[in-house]
Amino acid sequence: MDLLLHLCVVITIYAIFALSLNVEVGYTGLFNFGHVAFFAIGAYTSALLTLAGIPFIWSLPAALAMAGLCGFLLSIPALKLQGDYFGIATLGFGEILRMIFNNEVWLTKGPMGLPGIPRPEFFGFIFDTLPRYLALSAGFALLTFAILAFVVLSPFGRALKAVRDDETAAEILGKNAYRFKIKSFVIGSVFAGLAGVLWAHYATFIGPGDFTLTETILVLLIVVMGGKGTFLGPVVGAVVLIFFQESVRFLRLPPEWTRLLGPLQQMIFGLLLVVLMVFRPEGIIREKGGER
Amino acid sequence: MGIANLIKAFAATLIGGVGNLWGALLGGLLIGLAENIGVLFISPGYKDGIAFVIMVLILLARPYVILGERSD
Repeated sequence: MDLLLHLCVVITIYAIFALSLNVEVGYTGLFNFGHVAFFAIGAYTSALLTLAGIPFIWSLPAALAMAGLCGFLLSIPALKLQGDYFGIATLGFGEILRMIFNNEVWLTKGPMGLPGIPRPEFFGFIFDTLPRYLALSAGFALLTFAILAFVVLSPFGRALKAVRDDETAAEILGKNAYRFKIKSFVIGSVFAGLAGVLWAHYATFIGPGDFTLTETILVLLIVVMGGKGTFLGPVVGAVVLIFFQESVRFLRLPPEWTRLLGPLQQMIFGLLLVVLMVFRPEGIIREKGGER
Repeated sequence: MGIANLIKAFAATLIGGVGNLWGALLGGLLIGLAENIGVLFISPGYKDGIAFVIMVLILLARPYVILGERSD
């Protein structure tokens, strides 16, 4: 039962993470390979602030603001690059950020990580047990879903899709594609920061090793598999993929094979992505009105 | 694990110009030199990041990169 609750918490956190990436990848067509960086910024900011004694109510908005600010600063140069080059730039940003976490020992304790992050507390109510934490993370997931659905359905969201489908046409119609991309990137970064905050306070320990490219690939896989550019896609993708990832643990394998489980998981993920791209490139849930 | 090498290889290709054999050679040489001279000035922990920073700076300054053909 506890395992199930734990899985549900992880799913809600990854759902937020995937929803935030969906704004960039699904609606604006920005393939961000460094999305985990903003997850890490949110996690580290909130963890450091709460460890310094600042209550969660203040550390949460501070972490979101920090993630948004970093997203803004990165997007100014990165979005000047086209297509693949943007992907490489974000990939490198993620790696550089991880290097900073590894090297600035005075701030982040380097590879030792930050242990003992307190559980979130709202007005004296502590979210310390699993069901309580699930309520908190599920509440934030619903809120994220509602806000992002609102953003995407608004004229702003339609403009984002126009930029994704044909940048030149959108610019001819008077939309500044560069500005729309920056806004989309900042929104995605803020919500990735939210997922990071929830993760840091759930795991109560974070270290640079938690924020590798593997996380980005996992969340990209969630978005692409669930169906990019749809509301429910990232959520469905998170549920399917996290359950699948955990179910590999229960495979009955001979003992001498168990050390292969980690790599096996990666291999299956890679295979899954290739198979999916070949047979159903639009993901589990299809985007309405998109070209087929 | 291989990500740092991947970025360096990509950076070398980009610096030299995509589709330019001698450019890639030059790019690789430049990055190798920059990395190892760079640690004189900054912490060796950031060594793997140097290639990447150079790459982004070059992409921003000259989108058609050093020896490649101009595409825009």
